[in-house]
Amino acid sequence: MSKTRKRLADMADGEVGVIAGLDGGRGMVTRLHAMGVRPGKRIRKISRQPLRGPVAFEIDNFCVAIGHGMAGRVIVNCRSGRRAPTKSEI
Amino acid sequence: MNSIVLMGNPNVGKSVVFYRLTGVHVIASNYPGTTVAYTKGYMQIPGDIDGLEMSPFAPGEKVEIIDAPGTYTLEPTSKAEEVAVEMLKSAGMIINIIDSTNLERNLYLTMQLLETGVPMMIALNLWDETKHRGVSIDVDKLEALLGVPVVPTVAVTGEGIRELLSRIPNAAPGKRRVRFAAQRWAEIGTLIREAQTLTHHHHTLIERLEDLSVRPVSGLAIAGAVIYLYFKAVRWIGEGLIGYVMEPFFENIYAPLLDKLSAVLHPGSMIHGILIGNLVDGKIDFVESFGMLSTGIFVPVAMVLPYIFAFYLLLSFLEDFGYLPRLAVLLDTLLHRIGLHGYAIIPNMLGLGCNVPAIMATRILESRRERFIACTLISIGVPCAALQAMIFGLVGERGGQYVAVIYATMFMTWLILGLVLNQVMKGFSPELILEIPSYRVPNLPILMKKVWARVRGFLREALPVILAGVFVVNILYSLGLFGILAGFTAPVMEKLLGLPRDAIAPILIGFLRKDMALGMLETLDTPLSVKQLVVASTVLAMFFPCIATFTVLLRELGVKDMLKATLIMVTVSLAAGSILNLIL
Repeated sequence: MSKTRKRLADMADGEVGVIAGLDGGRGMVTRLHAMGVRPGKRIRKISRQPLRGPVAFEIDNFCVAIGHGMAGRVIVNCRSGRRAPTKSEI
Repeated sequence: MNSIVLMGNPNVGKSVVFYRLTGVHVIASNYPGTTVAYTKGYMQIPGDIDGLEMSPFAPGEKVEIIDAPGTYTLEPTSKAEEVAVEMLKSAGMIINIIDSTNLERNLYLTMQLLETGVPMMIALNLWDETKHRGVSIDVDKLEALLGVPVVPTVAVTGEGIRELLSRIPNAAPGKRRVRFAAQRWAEIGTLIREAQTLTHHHHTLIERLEDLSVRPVSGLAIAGAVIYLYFKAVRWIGEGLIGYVMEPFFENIYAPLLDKLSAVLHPGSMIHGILIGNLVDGKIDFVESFGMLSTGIFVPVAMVLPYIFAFYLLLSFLEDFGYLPRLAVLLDTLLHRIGLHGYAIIPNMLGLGCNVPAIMATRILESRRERFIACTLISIGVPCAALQAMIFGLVGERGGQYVAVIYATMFMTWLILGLVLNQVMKGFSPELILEIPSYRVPNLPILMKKVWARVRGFLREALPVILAGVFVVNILYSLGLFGILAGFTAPVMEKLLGLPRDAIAPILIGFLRKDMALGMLETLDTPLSVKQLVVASTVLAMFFPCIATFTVLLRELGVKDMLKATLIMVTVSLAAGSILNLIL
């Protein structure tokens, strides 16, 4: 099964992947790292608010919400060729 | 004096541990950033601990415990985190509080703390939640790997706290030199592999609810329901307490006593005027008489206190349940339009209780610009619970639609002023970055302690100011000073706002306390029409912060920005009042 790289902002609600990298400035990277949002971590997107609102996701045992801009700079390896899981599968 | 500093990530329960160690209650909530300033308390080292001679502490010694704001790293990103790092400098010992369900993430700060060389211990807090989260930690192994004592605790119930204290003699410096972030993460990786096992756990109902409350559609529906029920419940509890407890007490028990005192003091005498006030139709009127013992007691205790209690009961429940950060996510887009981000909803919500802690809570915001906007908006557009109680009590009597007009005006002002400030002020609002806590069913004793701490805070601060205020007002009236002043401000009052000229007295007294000032509106020589009452209440609410708020604004913003904020408040409130006067 091949992998597709996606930005966190573009993932579907409920989609799961592994963080490949943070493509942001030093400030953003330091803050996210310290919160435990790091490459190699499994991530599940929970929701995105309309009008470029914040993106909420689950990582390890906790949830984080970050602005849309930042979510566009979190690169995630998602499994491709597979639909996003339905609600009942989450 | 030797001091022990409690350090840890936000929302791991530091304040509850602090309470367990010192018996000093500090407000703790289920969201990151409740503690924005440090709190000091004292604890006596128990005499029955073995091996104390090896530690820096003596048996029975009184040590200072410092509850520091939560931080993810020792490289601070907000004012609250700066405070935390500052606290570390004076630490004789660190207790690092860790959320056991998120060991890996929490260990990053632990690594940094181990590099400081300060003796330290670790409390694995929230231990009770590890089981249903599928987390299992080998405490002994973790302790061996870290080289400092590690103790599982459940601070809300007090479990593990004695054990933690008994390990004080073993506290040791972390024998690690300062490293790069990648090296820290590498060590954490090893630690986690060795000491933690994760098992799959099924999503519980409450976890599904967590997801639903941050999804756009279901989230807004839940938010709407929560806010509606919240205000319903506050009114229901507040009015219930007033109608069934406070009013019967004051009418049946307090009034006869006061009548006797009134007869003894002779109506019309100076002392009667100050203590009892003016008789209305030969009787004491608890709102209109305006004496220290009549209105001065009735307003804070019978009219305001029930709402304060109701408000804080509900707010504290929402805080401890963990709902507020979700509201922050839902409202982020809206708040960005007014120069803030979603998390600014926390100070704004707190402001509905009292503006003082609300202004303090703006420390969780990252930039000075955001803090200025938040402080100004809260002072002008977020009415405190005491003020709201009086608006419900006095304006609500004339009809709910008038209360709605006041609320709508304040909300519109808050929104429009925010939009304008966001446009004219240099800079931009940073993006939201916020950890969303799990929902937790509040621990009832801890919840009630918190409500009581807030209610007591109100009684301690409000009661003396109101009593003194009533006294001062009576003196100023009898000296005729308000009359002179009313002459100067008459053009503004009469032409612009359509109010009688003597309405300036309550508006100025609003500087002392707004609830009392609103009560004064009922005592004016010419009774106000409904329209005038609405205009006067709105201007009073927005015009100028009360003295307590003024003091924290000055401290948090500095003189220059404080003056700027004040100028905005005066201008905007007069503008809003004039518009209401024109269109109503």
